[in-house]
Amino acid sequence: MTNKNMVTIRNLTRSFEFGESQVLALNGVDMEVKKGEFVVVLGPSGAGKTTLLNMVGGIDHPTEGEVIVDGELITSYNLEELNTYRRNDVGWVFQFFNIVASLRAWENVGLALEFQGGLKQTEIKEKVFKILKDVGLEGKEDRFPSQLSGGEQQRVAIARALIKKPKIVVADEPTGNLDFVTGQSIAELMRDLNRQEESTFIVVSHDLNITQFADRVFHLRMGKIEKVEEQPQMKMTKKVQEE
Amino acid sequence: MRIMNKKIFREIWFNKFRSISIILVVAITVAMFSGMRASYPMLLASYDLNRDINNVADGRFTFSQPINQDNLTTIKNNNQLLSDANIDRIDGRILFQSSLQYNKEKFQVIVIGVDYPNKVNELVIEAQAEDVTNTSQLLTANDSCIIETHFAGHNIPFIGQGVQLDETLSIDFIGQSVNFTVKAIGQDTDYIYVVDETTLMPLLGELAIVWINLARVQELRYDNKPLINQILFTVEDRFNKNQTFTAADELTQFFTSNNIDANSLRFEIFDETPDYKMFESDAGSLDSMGTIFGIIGLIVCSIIILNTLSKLVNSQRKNIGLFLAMGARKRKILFHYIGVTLILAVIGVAIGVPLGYGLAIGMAKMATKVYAIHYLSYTLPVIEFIIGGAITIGICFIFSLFSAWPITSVTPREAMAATFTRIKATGKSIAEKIFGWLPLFKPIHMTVPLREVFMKKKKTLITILALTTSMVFLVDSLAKEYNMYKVMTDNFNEYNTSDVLVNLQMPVPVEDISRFLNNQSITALQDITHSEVFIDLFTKITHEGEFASWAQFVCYQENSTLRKYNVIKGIESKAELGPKKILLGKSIAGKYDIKLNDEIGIGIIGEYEIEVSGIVGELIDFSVMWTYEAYQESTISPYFGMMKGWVNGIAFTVRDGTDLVALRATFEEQFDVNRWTEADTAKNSIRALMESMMGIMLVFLFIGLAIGVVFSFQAMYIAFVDRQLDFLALRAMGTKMKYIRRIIFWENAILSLIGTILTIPFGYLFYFWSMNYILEDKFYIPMSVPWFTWPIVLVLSLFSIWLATMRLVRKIKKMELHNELRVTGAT
Repeated sequence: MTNKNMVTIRNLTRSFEFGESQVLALNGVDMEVKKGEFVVVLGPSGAGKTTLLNMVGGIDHPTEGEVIVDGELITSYNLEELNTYRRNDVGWVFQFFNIVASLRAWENVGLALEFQGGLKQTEIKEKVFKILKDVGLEGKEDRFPSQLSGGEQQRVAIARALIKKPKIVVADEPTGNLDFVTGQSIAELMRDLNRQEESTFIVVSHDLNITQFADRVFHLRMGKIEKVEEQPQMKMTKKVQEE
Repeated sequence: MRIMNKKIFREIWFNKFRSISIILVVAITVAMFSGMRASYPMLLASYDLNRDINNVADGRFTFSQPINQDNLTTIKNNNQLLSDANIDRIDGRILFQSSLQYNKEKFQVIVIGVDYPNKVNELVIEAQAEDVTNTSQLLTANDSCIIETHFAGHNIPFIGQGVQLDETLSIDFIGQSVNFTVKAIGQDTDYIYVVDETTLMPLLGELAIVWINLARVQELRYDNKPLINQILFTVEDRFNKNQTFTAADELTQFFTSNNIDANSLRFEIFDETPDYKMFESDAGSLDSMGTIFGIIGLIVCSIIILNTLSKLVNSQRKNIGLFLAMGARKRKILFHYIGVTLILAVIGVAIGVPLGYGLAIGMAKMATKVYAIHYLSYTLPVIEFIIGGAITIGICFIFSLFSAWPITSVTPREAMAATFTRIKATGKSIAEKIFGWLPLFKPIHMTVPLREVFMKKKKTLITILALTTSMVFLVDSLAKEYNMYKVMTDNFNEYNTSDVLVNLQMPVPVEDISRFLNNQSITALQDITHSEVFIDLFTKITHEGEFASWAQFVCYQENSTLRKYNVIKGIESKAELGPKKILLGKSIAGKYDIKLNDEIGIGIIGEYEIEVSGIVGELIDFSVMWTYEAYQESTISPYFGMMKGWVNGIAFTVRDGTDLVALRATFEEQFDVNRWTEADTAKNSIRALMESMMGIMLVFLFIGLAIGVVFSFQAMYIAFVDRQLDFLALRAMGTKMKYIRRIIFWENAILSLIGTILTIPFGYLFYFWSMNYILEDKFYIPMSVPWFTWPIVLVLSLFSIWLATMRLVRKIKKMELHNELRVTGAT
């Protein structure tokens, strides 16, 4: 982790219109994420976590405010530029994995590199097999999604997000669809990869267990950052030791 | 309203494309099935209505040898005879074939000499010259004539010669050319098709019919002798066959007892005139075509429903899983999806019925315009619409049940699983092994189309079925459009290969004909390349001791190359016919329930017992057919009062460029020619008739093309609806649209290619089956689907691929990612 800001969010506001009523999902959010940092955005349902992540991940435009990623003001991007941004700079991990049913595990991961272009098939395969080994899927590279468990499918999704060495990895409830033990191992994996690859991770969750791996935890409530906790995992470790 | 019922309506409303496509296919099916079938009885009713209003004859006698007009006067004055015969109106006229010159062109003409206004076969005057003040005196002047509407080209584009009022025509009266002025354009309902009685081909616009003052015709044709050669009558109870046959019997007795030769007699009842038979046959084809198009519509409808609903069920697996998890009965979920289809089917039927009604009226109007019928009967058979609607809804029910049935075998967990379509294979699929080496399919994303097509077999099968069915419809429409004309001409070329048929007024010895044809001193005869003789009479038919009808009776030479018989049942060669074995037309056999090997009686004077040893299927198969040799070997001559070795017909072929006018004059110098028929006239007329029917044909073609393209597109589009998440994932990864477009295009292209390959055999099979069904055994059907069908199918298939790809890409491009991801539960 360095002191350089990877993500800077200023006065981020997003409102949705439902007929005549307006819902303010984000209400002037300010936050900064350092390069290589692993942050968790915590909050109850409807707090605006996913909306915040969509802005950072280049999936949605804000109503007001700015998102700067690695010095680039991505909120000024048009749809095509956002697409390029997602292709090269962001790795997405979803709650329901969103991997292509008709592609094998290694192909789902390799797709990210193929879309970026510039690599031969053999080079892609080599890189993919290595990362699949890193995420614990050695020997299962040729399986289709339907032949993998939920945890394994999420590992494929994580590998797919990381293989292109994105500037940031955004994960929306990555453990939300998994049991406790699997969820824990996925969270650990993300933390390990964060350290190994020095990628910046922004994880949105309402799962308290995941906070133990975070450098910082942002508490989001009613579309605003309520508080920020520094290195909570250290505190938890201390607490456990004291007990 | 129950919550699940509300969901049914929302399902319909929120998936408008899918709903509209089902409604559309149901509506088209009902419209085609019911509308076309309903137009058949409507046309027949219109025809009968016109015959009734215009007092068209219930029966007519034609005499190849003219009779004295006094015979008619005697009949008219014999109240006892008229009463016994139930005759209401009776009229005599002269009808003969000649040639006509108009605009420096020569045409065949039927000249009818009448006492106008005639009582039977009343003419409908469509236009008359300005100087005619009294319509009833139209033909009073010796140089006035009325010309038939089709030949004049009065009503219909493509048909006719554009004859105008007050123009002059020149008609040949045995070598003498006489001018007449057209004072009116009119129509006889007995000539709506202008069927030539020799070739039995419709000669609309090519064969002229001209009405002239009777006395003038007697003067020019019979040197002022008071002769007529046709007697027409109506009976008291119109269209009553018993009364008509009774009248015919009474009159036959009168004629034979008044020294009129039996072999000179021809009698035709109202529903067996060449025109009526042709009309019935054509309208019947319309009915069959309606059934065929309806069946195709039902097949397309079934496949579309199967395809659409199975994709709908698949795409809603999470909902289904949720309902099952909530304890919903499978039956209830099943009926939910059936409900969706049934509501759409009912809407489709509701739209299809008025559409079909419009189609029936539209087609009847178009047909009556072509036939130049003046009154349209609007009696639509409601039952056709009830049947069409009920069958379509039934089919929708069965196929929706069939496609939603898999729900009953899944568990909530399976239903909610992210990858519903399970891929069980672990190794490379055959498709990957075969196509994987191609550079096109090397990239990872290009394995998606291969796997989607070749590994999800059930889904692929349904999509290909939908594509193939749509394309088969297209092939069928194109082939029919092309071959309808070809069927007619090919049949002409196959069975009637003579260039000219000559019917004589009186039988003559074969030797006389032979001597004449071999006369080297007559130059015009040198152009004849091959000739044959034939006998062409009319006969009564009795079956099982009961009188059945009158029919044409023809005997060609056993080894004739100019006239073949299309035997569809019974003997295999004409050589098998003998003194006690004869052939019978399929229509007349069917109409009077005469079966193969049944005994029938033929003849005018008495009954000659003979076995039906073969059934013949031809354009208008109402004839009794035999060979000249069998006739000579038999003892049938007395039954027709015609001596052995005598004939009344000559058929021949000529060299290209032969002067047929000169040849005809040569024949007329030697014989009393009753009819002279040239094959080219018939062919030209068929072409003109087909052109005039182009409107109807184009409707079929357009429907075929529309169904082919729209439903191929629909099938391909629907194939992607349950894969929204895959494309969302690709979009979220920042995939360029070109990759997505490539995946969609090639998946569609592979499906389409397989569909097109399957379309070739199935297209052929379906076309032949449907043509056989429509034309029955009446025709020899050309075994070819035109070559240009396949490029058109390919181009339209590519067009469907392009449409489907563009529509899907547009849809994916327009996805609001954050919204779609939230709605689909991905985030």
